[in-house]
Amino acid sequence: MSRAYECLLRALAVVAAAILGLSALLITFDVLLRAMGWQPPAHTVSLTEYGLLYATLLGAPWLLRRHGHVHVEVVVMVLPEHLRRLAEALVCLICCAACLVVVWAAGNAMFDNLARGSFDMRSFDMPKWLLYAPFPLSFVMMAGEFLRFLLGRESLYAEAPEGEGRV
Amino acid sequence: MEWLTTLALMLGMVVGLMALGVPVAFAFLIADLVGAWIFLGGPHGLGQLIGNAISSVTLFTLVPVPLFLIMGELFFHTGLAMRVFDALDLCLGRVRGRLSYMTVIGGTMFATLSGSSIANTAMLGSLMVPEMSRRGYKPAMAIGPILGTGGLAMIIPPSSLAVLLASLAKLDVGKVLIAGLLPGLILALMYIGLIWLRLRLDPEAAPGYDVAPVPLRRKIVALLRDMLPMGLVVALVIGVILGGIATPSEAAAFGVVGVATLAAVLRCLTWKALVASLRGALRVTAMAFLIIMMSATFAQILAFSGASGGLITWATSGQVSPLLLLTAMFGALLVLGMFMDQLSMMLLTVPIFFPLAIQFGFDPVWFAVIVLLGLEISLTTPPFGLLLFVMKGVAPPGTGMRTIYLAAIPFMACGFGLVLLLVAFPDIALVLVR
Repeated sequence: MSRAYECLLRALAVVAAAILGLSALLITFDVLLRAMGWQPPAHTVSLTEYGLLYATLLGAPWLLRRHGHVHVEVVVMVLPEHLRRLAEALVCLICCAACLVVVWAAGNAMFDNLARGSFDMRSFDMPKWLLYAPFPLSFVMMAGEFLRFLLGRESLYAEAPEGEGRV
Repeated sequence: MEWLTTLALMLGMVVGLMALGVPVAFAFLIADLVGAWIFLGGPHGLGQLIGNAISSVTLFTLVPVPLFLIMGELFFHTGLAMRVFDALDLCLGRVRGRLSYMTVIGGTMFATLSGSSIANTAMLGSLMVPEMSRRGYKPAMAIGPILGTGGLAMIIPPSSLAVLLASLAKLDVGKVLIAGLLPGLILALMYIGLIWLRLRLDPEAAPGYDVAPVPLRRKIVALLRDMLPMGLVVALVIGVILGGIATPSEAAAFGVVGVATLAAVLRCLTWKALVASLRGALRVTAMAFLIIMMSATFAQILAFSGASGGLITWATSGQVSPLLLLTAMFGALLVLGMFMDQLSMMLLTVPIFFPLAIQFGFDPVWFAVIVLLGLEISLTTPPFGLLLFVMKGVAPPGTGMRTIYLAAIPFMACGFGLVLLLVAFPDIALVLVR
């Protein structure tokens, strides 16, 4: 079970990274076609826009596992050890709860849009529920990750494995 | 004063949660969940929060962020960065203080390619500091230029942070990118001037040493083979935006394909480098965009509850002079920068600062450059500026924080000098975008 979950976590991140790489190729292809006087496909802009949403949400649980979500440590650092642990447990608990609220709210919105059959109209009509769909998946996994940090041995604030992901 | 309560509640919640150690994206999320429930009508408000999150990132104007990141990562992982640096090393010859100059020139070039101040500082630090200490450079000459130059990545295009700022403030992304070019180059020149002056006053700060002479032919070959192609890619990316030929997103895509092609031609594009680059770009993209999504409702709550409007009315009704307002906003950025990352600072301040700035008649593009400079300077502001700690991480063991602070201060002063210049001559930022 945990192996399968691990694979899912990584597979989603691979898809997310692939989306970013493909966006670059798609846009370049589009510009080249236009430069040569051909009609480029009309959907490039909308596809890359939706791609950003999917890449972010599919990559987020993997990033949480790898300690990549930035946090402020100046205040927590000065607390004594036992208070720091208490604060960390509290943080994991609140974040887990917040993630579950998002799962509930986004799930509701998804089924709502599915039932109504509404569309997001850009260069093509995207079923709206597909925009809400990655939220429950991503946030239920992140809730699980916070729970893992709460109950397991690994700290939420452990060093990121390969430098920190910051802008 | 109901708006003041709302403003205090929303800002207080985000800052309080961040101080508790809640990851930034989730601090915004929790504050927004509470705010949306109170101000946007219970469960309906939560649905709207998700809707806002979707529309906040499905924007073509944000596409350059991941693409600039891939471009910068490719540049480092394929080893093209080292080639540029080595070529520069060959060309500088025996100039006194050459390692300091090399840091500024090389760092400025990296800045144009990477767009990430943290990565830039970390790389320059680990690359240059050991060599500089071995050659007997004083800390001020070794650490200072790295701290100063590291921050340039934020201002000089292509900068991911500039794209984010423009997109959040609903400004023309291309204009904000281009507006940073001249100020960034001027800042680099000021750094070079500072090093020169320092060496005049204290020649022992960077002891001279013998370098094996390099024939002119080799220098030219290195320039043509290792520096010129990279320069062309960058010039192309900036040039097509400047000329209005392509959107920043298209230019960024060209940059990615350009760097990848160049690496392939020079036979250093490996599968491993490609995977590492995409992974690195995904790390920053997912981190930054999740924060943007989770804070999308923040600005809306401030506007909806009348907090933004209240603040603007209050600020414009008094006798606040534009200069005082600018100083206050700049000061707020520096204070926030002591304990917060750049993106959180932007998200907290953009919904408040930009409407105020426009109300006071500031040019928004010019103001964006000022904000970027504020963000950059705040990164190196003692005692908690983020780059200071990055530097501490890569500096030789035994380098104290005090040494790092003292080295940072003259370079920070250059940043302040540039801000004053921009206030006196706004055209420095605006001349290229008109």
